[in-house]
This record gives sequence, structure tokens and C-alpha cells, in this order.
Amino acid sequence: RVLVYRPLGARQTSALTIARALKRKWVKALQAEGIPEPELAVKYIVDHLTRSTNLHVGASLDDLVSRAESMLEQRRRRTPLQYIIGEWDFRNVTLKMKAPVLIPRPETEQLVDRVLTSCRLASRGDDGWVWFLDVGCGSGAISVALLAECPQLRGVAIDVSTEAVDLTRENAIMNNVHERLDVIHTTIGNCSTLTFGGRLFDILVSNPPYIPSRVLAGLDPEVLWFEDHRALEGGPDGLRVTAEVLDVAQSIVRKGG
Amino acid sequence: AGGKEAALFTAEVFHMYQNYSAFRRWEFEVLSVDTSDGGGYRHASAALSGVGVFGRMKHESGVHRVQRVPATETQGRLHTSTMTVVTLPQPLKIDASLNMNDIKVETFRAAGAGGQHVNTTDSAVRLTHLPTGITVSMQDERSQHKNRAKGLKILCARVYDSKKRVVDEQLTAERKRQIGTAERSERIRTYNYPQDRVTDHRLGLTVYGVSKFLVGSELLDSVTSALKVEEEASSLATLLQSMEQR
Repeated sequence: RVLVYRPLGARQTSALTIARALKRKWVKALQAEGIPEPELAVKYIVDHLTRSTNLHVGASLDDLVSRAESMLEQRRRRTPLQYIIGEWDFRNVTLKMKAPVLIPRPETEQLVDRVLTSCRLASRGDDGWVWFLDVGCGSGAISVALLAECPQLRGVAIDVSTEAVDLTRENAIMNNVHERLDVIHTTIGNCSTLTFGGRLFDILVSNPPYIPSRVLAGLDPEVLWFEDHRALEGGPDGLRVTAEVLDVAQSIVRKGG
Repeated sequence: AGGKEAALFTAEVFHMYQNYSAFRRWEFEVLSVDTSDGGGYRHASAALSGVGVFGRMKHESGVHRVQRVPATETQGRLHTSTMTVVTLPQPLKIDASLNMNDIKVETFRAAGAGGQHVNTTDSAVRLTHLPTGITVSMQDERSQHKNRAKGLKILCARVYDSKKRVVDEQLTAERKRQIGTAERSERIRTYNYPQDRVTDHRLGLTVYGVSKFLVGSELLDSVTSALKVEEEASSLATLLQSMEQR
């Protein structure tokens, strides 16, 4: 057996040093407040700060430590990690995260899988594209991931929140898919009257709010205090918004879509 | 066994099979050769493929004995040396693909409901290949999707390695077994130079012309054919016997 010694680069040395210094103190502090996943918080904050794009020229170890500490203090107050760092990964893309726009859940990555299968089977329309409508786009996770992974797609994304519309546009630009995505600030109800250029969509995708109203109050502070309730609350049975989406679907989706 | 003379004989037998492969239009790929000083082979191995290879070559397993005055012999004395042949079937290609039905995927699950109800930064994935029990855990990436993809690649490689190891072990065991059996048994064939004949002791069959035999064409072919016929006859006899007994 041969042991290979690879000397650590400056970035990795800093990361390790800071991580070690912070870990013991902050994992304890976070655990004391009942904060879930404390070690991951330290790891991701340190990692984010020491990534080359985030390292300022001449940044000292002290600078980094104090920045990390202020971020960890935010975490101690329950701010979701993704909002603190300001970005997160979804499937193969990186997205900007900004309160109160809903943070994409890992399960939604699998929703995109299913849509991709349909996309690949769908035949291109007369204009050479396969069109999707993303209802309640939030940060734009679904739309951006779809466009990034399927070049024959074009889409329209809608949301009732202006913050969500802005964020989706930013994320589309950041991932260079903005030319294939129209983002519109509107409600589901309006969809049937909007003409969308006289076109019917091949695919309708949505991750609507689905939490029953009475359950909402019992959720973790990370969700309850920081994320947009309009993206979470789905009425008494959780299905109010889903029902609205399905109602409107008939008039927007083409036959066989 | 037996030093330089045996090594020389080993090389001659190896070349005989090489020529025989050409004669029968088989592919003959030399895998390894361990030469001895004096120009012989201590060990040599080859991969043969083609129609009917194993059926004919399997009877070559065993100890081959040569009786002659070696080139190195100064006083003209007759020597007896031996070499051993081992025949192993070539393993089927190992299937490197994984069936997703065989894989269990475990991810973070909040106690109670997940999805919108919970914020998590835990994107760790653990993949288990159920038939072999091989497990891979991956948490390098922030996206679960990426961890899954990375983990699958590694799992695939590990499962392949494990399958290959099993096949290699089986081959090694079979090889050991054949050598052991050969060393404990009588020689299967004698190549007698003074009398210029080759005798296969299983058939009790003698063929004349040792040099010609070692060329590896019609003479060797006639012997392998006879061995084949003999095998078929004896299995037929066994079959009839078992039928009569009922």
C-alpha cells in the first residue's frame, strides 16, 4: 500500500482551522437552543466562506472567523441556513436564496425527474419547442432545473409573490436559461384568461402549498418565522391550491399533455 | 517439474497448442510466459477461444511426460521429465450494470412529515446494493440529486470489483485443484523419443512421430478426437446403466 501525501492548499488549511475553532463552541451553542443539524450548519458556513469566490484578497483568518460567527449567531436565532448563505444547490444548478421565498426541498428534485421523463417523450410543437407552465415557481428551482437539463424546453413561470417573481428571474439569468423562460406575476385564476400567445402547454408542473392550516402553527421556527406562508398553507385539508391548479389545467394544457 | 529440461519441454508443448489453435482456427492469446535461462518456460498461460475449444482442450489437463536424451546431457543418458497442463473455462463477462430494483436508497427523513413541513440541509444519501450488501454513503454535495449520482457511480464500481473478486477466486481454486489432482495421478501422455511414439494412457492409444505430433496438427487432432469420442461413449454407457437399473 502506498500512502499519498497531498499537501493542503491555502483554502483547505483555512477551512480546517476555522472549522475546528468554531465547531466545538458553536455545535454546543446550537444544540443548547435545540437547533437541528448543528454540525452541518458549521460545515456549510465555513465551506461557503472559504470558497475561492468568497475569499477576499487579504482576508485574514480573523476576518473569516468573525464573519462565520455572525452567520452562526443568525443560525442560533433560527434563520434557515440557506437564507444565511444566500444560495443553495438544487439538482445540478445553484440558486440564490432570499427570504421569504420558499427554500426548495430535496423531494422536489424527484418531481423534476418525473417531468423530465415526460419532456423527453413529448414531441416538439410547430414552433420547435416543448412548453411547460410552472405554477407557483418560488425561487424558480423547478423551471431553472428543467431548462438546464432539457434544451428543447421553453416555459412560463408564475407566482403571486413579487419577491418570488424577482428571484426566479435572477436565478434564470444566473443559470443562463432566461431566454427560454417568461416569469409573470399573476394568480392561478388569471391563467385561463391569459392568452400566452394563444398556445396550450404540453406540461403543467407545480409544487403548490399543501400544508393544512391547523398544522402550520406547529412547524419549526425555520419554516414558520422565515418562509412565505402563501407558499405553505393549503387551506383546511391542504388541497385548496392544488384543486385550483387542476381546475385551470383543463383549459391550459393541450390534449394528451 | 525437473529444471531446464522440463522447462524446454513445457515450451514445446505450449507451442504445440499454439499451432494446434491455428490448425483448428481458434484464437490463441498469450497471457503470460515465465522463461527460464536455457530457453524454456517455467510457466506459460494462454487464452483460447473458438468453436469447440473447451471440449477438446479439457482432456489435455494432466501430467505430460517426456523420455529423451536432453540437449544438456553430456553423457547420452535417457531422462524422464514432466510438465502439467491445466485447463480452465474462460469466465463469462462480468455484468457491470446495476439494476435499480436491487438498490435501496436512504435519505434524510424528518420524524413525522417531510417536504414543505421541514427545512433541512441534510442531503446525505446512503445506497445499498441488496444482493451483495455493499453500501455507499455520500454527503459531499449540497444537492441530494448530485449525491445520489456520485454514490451510484461508486456503488457500481464496488459491486463490479466484488463480482470480479469472486470470479478470480473461483478460477484460482479450480486451478489449484487441477494441479493437485494432476500431481497425485498418473501421467496422461508419454512422449517417447527413442521409440519415436506418443502414447495416451487413458485410451491406450499410440501414435508414431513425436516431432510431428508436437507440430500440433493432424496427429494431435486425431488424439483429441478419440478422447472426445471416448468421453461421449462412456457417458452414454453410464446413462444406459442408470436406465437399466430402474
